Amino acid sequence: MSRQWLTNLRRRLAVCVLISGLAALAACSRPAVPVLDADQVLRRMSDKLAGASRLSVTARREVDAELLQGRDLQPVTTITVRLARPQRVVVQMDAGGDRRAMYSDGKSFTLQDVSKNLYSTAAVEATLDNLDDVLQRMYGFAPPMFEFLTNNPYESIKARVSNVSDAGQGPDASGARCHRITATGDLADAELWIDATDFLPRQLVATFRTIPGYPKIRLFFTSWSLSPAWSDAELAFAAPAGAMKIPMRSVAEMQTLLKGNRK
Amino acid sequence: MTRRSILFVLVTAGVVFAAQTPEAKHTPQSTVSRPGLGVGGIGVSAVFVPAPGVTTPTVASKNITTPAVTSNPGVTSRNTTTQQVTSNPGVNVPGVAAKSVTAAPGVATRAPATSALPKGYFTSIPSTADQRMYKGELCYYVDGVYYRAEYYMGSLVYVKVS
Repeated sequence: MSRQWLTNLRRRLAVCVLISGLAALAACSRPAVPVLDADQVLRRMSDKLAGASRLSVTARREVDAELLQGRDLQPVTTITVRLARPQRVVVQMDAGGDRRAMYSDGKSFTLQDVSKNLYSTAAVEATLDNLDDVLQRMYGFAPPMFEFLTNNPYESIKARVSNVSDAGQGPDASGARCHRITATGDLADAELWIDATDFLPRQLVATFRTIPGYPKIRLFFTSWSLSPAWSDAELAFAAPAGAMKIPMRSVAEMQTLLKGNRK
Repeated sequence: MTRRSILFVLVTAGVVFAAQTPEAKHTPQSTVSRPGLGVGGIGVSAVFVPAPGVTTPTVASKNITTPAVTSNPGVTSRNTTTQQVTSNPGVNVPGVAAKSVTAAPGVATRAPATSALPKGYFTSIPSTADQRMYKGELCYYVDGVYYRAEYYMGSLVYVKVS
C-alpha cells in the first residue's frame, strides 16, 4: 500500500516537474515585452492621436495662484475639445461663471464669451498644424493644450522642448499605469503621463521654473474619444440670439496705438 | 583655389541647403525658443509668460458707497454706485474698500497678459455698467462714459468711446 502510494507520489512529482519545465520553456521562448524609450512613447502617443480623423477630449486644468496674477485665467477650468482633421476645432472652457469658446474652421477664427454673450470673428487661415502659431503671432494668444491637438503631436511637442527623457512607469492621479516622460523647456519643465495600454495622454504637470515659487499648471485628461458621435456641422459657430459682435485687436494694431501714445 | 574646386564648394553648399530647407519648413515654431511642454496651457504666447504681478489700467467708479451690489443676469441695480472697482488678481487700488467681488454680465474682472495697453483702454469697468447704444454701436455705459468691448490677446478689454 505504502509502496504504491510512494510510486503515485513520484509520478505526480514527475508530472509537476515536467509541466513546470515546459511552462518555463514557453516563457523563455516568448518574445520579451519591448522597453520603449521616451521618444518611442511620444511617437506612439502621436500616432494614436494623429490617426484619429475626429476626436474629442475633456481635461481639467488647474493653475497655481502665481500664474493667475495679471492674467485672464481661472484657477480651475474644464476644457473640452472637439476636432475634425485637418482644420476644424472647437475649444470650450468652463470655469463656473466664466464660459468661453474658440472655433476655427480653417478660414476664420471665432472667440466667444458665452457668459457675457459676446463674440468676435477674424479671418484666420490655418490648419491644426499652425493655428496656434498664427494666433500667437497675430493676436498674442493660443488655445490651451494645443500641442496635443495638431496633426502631428510628436513634432509639435518636440518643437516646444529641448529634451525629453524617460522617467519610468507609474500610476497617474487616477491610478492608471502610465509611461512617465519628463520634458525640459526654456520656461517650464513638464512631466507627462501617457497611458501604458492605449498610449493616450492622461496627465501633464508643467512647472514654471522661471517664476518665483515655481508655479504649476496641471492638466488632467479625463476622457478621450477617438470616434466621437457628433457631426462636423456641430463644429460651426452660430452666434446666439442677442450676442454682441466686438472687434478682435491684433498685436500689431495695439503696438501701433501704443507707439502713437508715446509720441 | 581652382575654378573646379570653387564650383564643387558651391554645388555642395546648394545640396546641403536644399536638403535642410524642407525640414525647416515643416518644423513648427522652428524660429522661436522652446518654452516647454504645457506652457500653452495658460493660453498666451510664451513671450508673455514671465509677467506675474502685472498691474493693468482699470476704470474706477465714482461714489463708492454701496456695500454689496450683486448683479444677476439682466438685473439692473438702482443706486448704481459700485462696491467693487478693480478686480485684477493681486492688484489693489488705494482708497477703495472692496467688500466683495461680484461680476455682472458684460463686465470684465480679468486682465490680459500684457502690462501695456494704449491710452483709453481698460481691463475692467465698474460692475454697474449697463449696455446702451451709442452712435450706432452697443456699448457699456457707466458714470456718464461709454466704453466699447474688444478682444485683445484673448481677453476682454474696454476702450473709452465718449
